[in-house]
Parts: sequence; structure tokens; C-alpha cells
Amino acid sequence: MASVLDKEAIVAPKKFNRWLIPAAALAIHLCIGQVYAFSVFKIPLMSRFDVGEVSVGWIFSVAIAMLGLSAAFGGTWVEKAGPRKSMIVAGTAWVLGFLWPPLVLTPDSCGSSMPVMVSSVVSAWASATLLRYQR
Amino acid sequence: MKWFPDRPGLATGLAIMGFGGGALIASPMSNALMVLFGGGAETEDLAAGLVPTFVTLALSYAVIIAAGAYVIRLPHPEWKPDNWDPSKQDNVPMQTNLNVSAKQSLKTPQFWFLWIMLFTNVTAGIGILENAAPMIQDYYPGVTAAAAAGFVGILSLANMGGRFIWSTASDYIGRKNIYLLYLGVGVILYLVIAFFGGNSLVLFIISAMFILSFYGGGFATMPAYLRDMFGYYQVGAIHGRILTAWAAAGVAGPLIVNSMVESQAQAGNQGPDLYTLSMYIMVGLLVLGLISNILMRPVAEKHTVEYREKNQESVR
Repeated sequence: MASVLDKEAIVAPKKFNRWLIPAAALAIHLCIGQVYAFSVFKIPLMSRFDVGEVSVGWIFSVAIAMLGLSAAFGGTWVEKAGPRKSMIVAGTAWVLGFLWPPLVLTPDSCGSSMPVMVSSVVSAWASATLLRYQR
Repeated sequence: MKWFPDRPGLATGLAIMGFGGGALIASPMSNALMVLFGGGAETEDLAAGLVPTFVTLALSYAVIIAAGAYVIRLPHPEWKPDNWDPSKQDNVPMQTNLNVSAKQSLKTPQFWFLWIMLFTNVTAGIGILENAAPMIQDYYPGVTAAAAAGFVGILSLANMGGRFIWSTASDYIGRKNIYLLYLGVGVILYLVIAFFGGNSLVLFIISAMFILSFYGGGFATMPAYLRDMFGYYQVGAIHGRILTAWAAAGVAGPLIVNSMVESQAQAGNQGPDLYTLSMYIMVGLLVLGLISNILMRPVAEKHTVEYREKNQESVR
């Protein structure tokens, strides 16, 4: 199953332009750089949900905690699964993390909004870590 | 890395550049998207623009990551770079040091000193990072959201630059000394922000940049410090365990700063006063990390794999 994702499926031919690889890695890193831009969203989020710094801060905290923990424990799987599969899995989690809150939230669902935000960004950041092991 | 056996430094450098560049682009881009979708630069407009911004980011990331996954390849087993002969490589001298297993490392005080050092260093850095945009606007109300986003981008650059510059420097001046720099000068910089942060925007920005460069440097130097202490044997696994300090700090840093800001706001304070108390807490934490670093000594021989094997033999 999912054979195009396997390690065996992506062994390059002997003649291959290796400069495509940093380009691919660069694409990923350009995306996950978003992690450290979180504070830009802080004031708008606080205004939107009418909550304080601590509530919004939890989103980032949980995200970084997930990042640290998946870096601590996810390395072996990434080695085993190979780069393409881990990129797809991690990328999916990352994208869902951004897509999830807008899909679930309605303007007046403020009460439930914070946990949703938290869990969504969790998946996003978990993926970021997996991707770090790419190099 | 497997694609650049002849130039390992280049591969790492490119990866760092990508991450740094991504952070540099992400903050102004996110802000611009919120302005675009929200129809203005006021806080309410930005808040209104949040949802379409997230969707746009998600879709762009989906496309970019899919493209990356499509392109990515593993090298052919027989492949090697043109004109490259592994036998001609300078052999990196293997460290003749003794080795400590991952399991045994947890029983050494050195592991826990390093854990505290990483925890305090990351807590201090991330407390600022998570608050960067609101913080600069609280210190300097004239700073717009767009300018604050630029500041966040600059901090990310400092973070990445620190990883590169300080970890390279540690090869020359030693790990213990570089952590004295991160933690000791970190203390001074936090005090500078606490006392003078509201007086000079330039001073504020430069101090924050250095703090973030130490944050990045603290990360990047950790694998080498672990290798010096515990040998090559299971350094990867030991590094994984020490990263739990990062996870814990990711919770602690923002929590400390945000709770302080909220309680200070309730007490009627505003502007820089919101942050002063959290700066002092960070100073206290960094001092704790500094003490841990000062206490660092080579690992006792009884913890090493070599000693334990020899010992078992003599028991038999």
C-alpha cells in the first residue's frame, strides 16, 4: 500500500541533479519557518476571541511542546519511513492544523474555540519536527 | 545530507537558511494577508482576516510541501558526487573519549545540568519570541502591526544566525565557555531590557536580537556539548532525551510571560511595566542555568560503557 511513498520508490537514477534536493528541502523549511512568526497572530487572536495572553499563549506552548516531544521520539520512524512518506504525513498534519480551526469555527463559537485552536496547531507543529529530521 | 557527503557544512547551511528565510517571510506575509482579508490594519480588521489567512496559508503550504515530496529522492546506492573519492577525505579524528550509554546518561549529574541549561536558555528566549509582536507594541505604542511583524522576522533571522555563528564559535572557544556567554550575557541583556528597554528602541531591538541568537545558539551547540560529555556511542538518543527540556520550556516560557502580563495589566500597569517582572524571572532562571554550567565537569569514569564492561568481566 502507498508504494509511491516508500523509500524504494524514490531511489534516484544514477544520473540525477542533486541540486533538486536542497530545493525540495528548502520548500519545506520555508513553510515551517511560520512557527516562529506566531506572535504576529497574538493580538488579532486575543481580539477575535476576547481572551487574554495566557489563553492564546497556550496555543504556542502546546505546539512547541509537541515539537519537542516529537523531535525526541519521532526520529526513528522518520528514518524507517523515508523522506517522502514522512513529508506527506507531516505535511498533511501541518496543513490540517491551519485548515482545521477555520472549518470548525463559527464567529460565535468562542467558548469552544481555544481547545480547537490548540489541538489544530498541535498537529501542525508535530509535523514540523518530523520534517526537521529530513536533513 | 546523504546527497552532500563531500560538503556537509553546505547542506546544513542551506537547511538553516531555508528555515530562517521562511520565518523572515512568514511574519510580514501573515500580517499582510490579515490586512488584505480584513480590509484594514486595525486590530479588528486583522482579527476579521484571521480565517481566510489560515486557509490561504494552509493551501499554499499544501502545494509547496506536495511539490517538495514529489521532487525528493534518495541517492542511488552506487551514486557518488562527481570527482569525489571518499578515501581521499581527511579522516576526522575519532574521539578517543570514553562513551556513555543513553540509559546510563540519565544517572549522571551532567545530563541534568545540561537539561537545566537548555530548559532555562529556551524558556528565556521563547518567552520573548512568543510575545515579540505585542511586546514591541506595548513598549512603543507608535509601532504598527506591520512594523512589529518585521521585528518578528528580524528576531527569526537572529535565531538562525545564532545557530550558525555561535555553534561554529564553540568549536574554537569550547562548549562550556559558549554557554557561559549565552547564559551570562543573557542575564545582562534581560536586565538591559528590564531597565532601559523603554528608553531606546534601537537598544531594545538589539538586545532582543542577541537574546534570540543565544536561543538559537543554545540549541545548535547542544549536540556537540553532549558529544563532548558522553561520546559518540548513543549521542543521538541522548539528544532526543534532552529535547524534552525544549518541550517543557515551550510551555513554561510563554506561560510565565503571559501570566505576568495579565496580572500586571489587572494591577493597572501598562507599557513596559507589563513585562518587567517576567524579565526578572527570566534573569533568575538564567542564573540557575549559569550555575549548572559552571558545575559541569567531565563525566565520572564509572558511568562509561568501557568501565562497566571491564567491571562486569572482573565480576565474572
